[in-house]
Order: sequence, then structure tokens, then C-alpha cells
Amino acid sequence: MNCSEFKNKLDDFVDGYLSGGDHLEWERHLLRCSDCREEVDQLRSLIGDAARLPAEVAPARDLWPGIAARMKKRRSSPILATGFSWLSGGRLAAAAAAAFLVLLTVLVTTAVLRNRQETSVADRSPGGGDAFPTATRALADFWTAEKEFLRATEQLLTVMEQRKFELSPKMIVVVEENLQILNRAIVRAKSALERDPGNRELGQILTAMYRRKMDVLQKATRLPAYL
Amino acid sequence: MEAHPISWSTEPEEELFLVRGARRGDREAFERLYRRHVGRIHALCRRMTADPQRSEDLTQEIFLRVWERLGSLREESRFIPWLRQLAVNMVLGERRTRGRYLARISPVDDLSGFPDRTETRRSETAPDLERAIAGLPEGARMVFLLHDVEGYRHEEIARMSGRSTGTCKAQLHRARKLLREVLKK
Repeated sequence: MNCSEFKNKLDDFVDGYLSGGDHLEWERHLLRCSDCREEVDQLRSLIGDAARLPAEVAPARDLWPGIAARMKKRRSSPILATGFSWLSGGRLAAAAAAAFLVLLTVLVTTAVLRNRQETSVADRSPGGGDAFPTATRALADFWTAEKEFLRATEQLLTVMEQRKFELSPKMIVVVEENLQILNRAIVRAKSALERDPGNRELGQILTAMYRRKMDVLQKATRLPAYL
Repeated sequence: MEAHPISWSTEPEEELFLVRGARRGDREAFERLYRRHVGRIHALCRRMTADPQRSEDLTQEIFLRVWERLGSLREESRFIPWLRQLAVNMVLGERRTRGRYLARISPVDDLSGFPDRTETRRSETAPDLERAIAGLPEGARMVFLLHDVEGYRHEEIARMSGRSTGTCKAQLHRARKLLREVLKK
């Protein structure tokens, strides 16, 4: 073994991460090489100093008054606070979101069916179609129901935010990326539906994306704590 | 409050008593828990952020989060590891939320809050080392602190930070190399 090979695994050697056989080989190199011995000594000295840094560093001022003031604005009991977030807030929000999602699905189907029926009647009538197509009115109902659905999902988002710091970092990244993708797709589908309100497929795509978003949020609020 | 090395573990029975009280909503018990652990939590925040203001803000946020989440603590006897893990998670989370920012490559001038030579009992090189750590690029500083100061293993650091073990090892190697160069001068 040469010094370059030794230094490549210097950290693993000093930290004890090398396997038994490799560790012996590194030890043998140390017996022959004073430069590498010095490197090892320096590194061990640095690690030793780091481990002996003061365990506590007091803040420059007493932070308790600020903490106490903000505690008063929040829930009085930590046990109650934890129980509330999912059991009442989270579960109710999920139920509300699910109910409005069903309504959205019904409205999409109704809007498209009405549009087809009334379009075929209008085509046969002497004066042509209605100046304000039925699909547009049905779409207005859809947006009203959508507002309520979004309100319910906002509550789920709040529950998820409250739990953020007890979920694993990787899981947070996955959830946030999924939500970003879904939100972008929802915006595009909504624009397309506004331009083409009688399009059944678009309506179904939009409700499917809402369903997926709700699914992601529900699962995120129910994830086991990483801590 | 003077900073001096104190073991992370405190009297377990009294700790348990305070944790139980705080879980029931006893603010005085929680204040006592705060006073026991603020030095340790602030040290972590101070070193990880290398920023006095951010570290104070983070310390406050951490204890507020502890107050809110104490109900989720499964075993009261595990309060200290739970607190420590929550603090590390929040520091790493705060870093992600702030987004990209320039790695600090120049030494920190503001060493207020770090013990000076007259107060240091165990290591006379502590202020130099503190300054050098604060001057590390952020990623390298984070891994160095978590591994060499806080005692986490690479796999744990990788899981907490969302990075690969290989990246963490490379960052540690870089941190140690930079520190040795700086401290030699």
C-alpha cells in the first residue's frame, strides 16, 4: 500500500469503519510511514478537540420571556394539542374533502350530460342553442363545490405543516414534490376546463387529480412520527 | 449564564418529573426543562448556523415545538434523545427552508457566546476551533458537527439530511482537511 491509498481511507481508518483485515493492513503501513503517522495524529487530535468542545453555549440573552409569550397564544396542554391536530382537525378536514370530492365528481358528470342533452335539443330548435350554455352554469356549481373542497384540503395542509418537523426529511421532500406536480397539473386542467366546459374527460381528469392530492395529504398527515 | 462543559444527561428522576409535569401543561415544569437544556440546544444551533441571530430564533422555535409536541413523546424516559433529535431535525429543516445560500468561507468575526480562553476548562484550542468550524462551507460544517461533535454515524446523518452516505463521508473528509489546514496556521 502507498501513502495515497492510505490517505484515501484515512477517515475510515481513524473512525474505525474499516473491516478487520483492512484495518490491519493500514496499521502495518503506519509502522513504516512517519508522514502518515503524523496525519493520523493530527486527525485524532482534531477529533479529540471537537469532542471536547463545550457541551453548552448559553444564548446572549434569556430567551424564555419570548417563548413564554408565544406559548400563551398556543394550546395550554401539549397532550391536548397533539390529540387535536389529527383526531379532530385532520379527520374532519379529510371527511369534508372527501364529501366535496364526491360532489365534484357528480357535478362533472351532470354538467357533461346536461350539455350533451341540451346541445342536441338546441341543434334541433329553430333559434339554435342557449346564449348561456347549460354546461357553463353547471360549471359554476362545480367551482362553488371546488372552493369548499379546497378549504377542506387547506386544513389538511395545516395539519401536515404542524407535523413537518417530526417527519423524516426524505419523506417531506417526496410529499412536497408530489404536491407541486399535482398543483401544476390541476392549474392546467382547470384552465382547459374553463375554455371547454363541456369536456367530460377534462372534468374527470381534474377530479382525479383532486382525489390524488387529497390522498397524498391524508397519507402525509397519518405518517408515523420519525422521532 | 456561563458556558461550561456539562454532561448531556441530567438527574433522571427529576427530569422525568419535569417532563410529566410539562406534558400535563405545567408551564413552570417546562421552564425548568428549558433552563436545563437551553445551553445544549443553543450550542447546536449556534454551531450549525454560525449565525447568532438565527441560532437564537431557532432555539426559541425548537422549545416552542417541544412544548407543542410533548404529547407525541412515546416514552417519557426518552425525553433527552427525543429533544436532541427534534432539534437536529429542525435545524436541518430550517436550512432547507431558507434555500440555497452562499457557503461561508471566511472566518467568523463574531465569537460572542463562545467561551473565551479564560473560561474554557478542557480545551485551550476551543475558540480557534469554534472559529474554524464557523468558517467551514455549510454542508461540510453540518456533517462535521453531527459526526464529530454530536456523535451521529454516517447512516444517521444521511437519513436526517436526505443525502447519501457517500456524500456525507466526502463532506466530513473535506471539513476535517480544511480544519487541519486552518488550525495549522
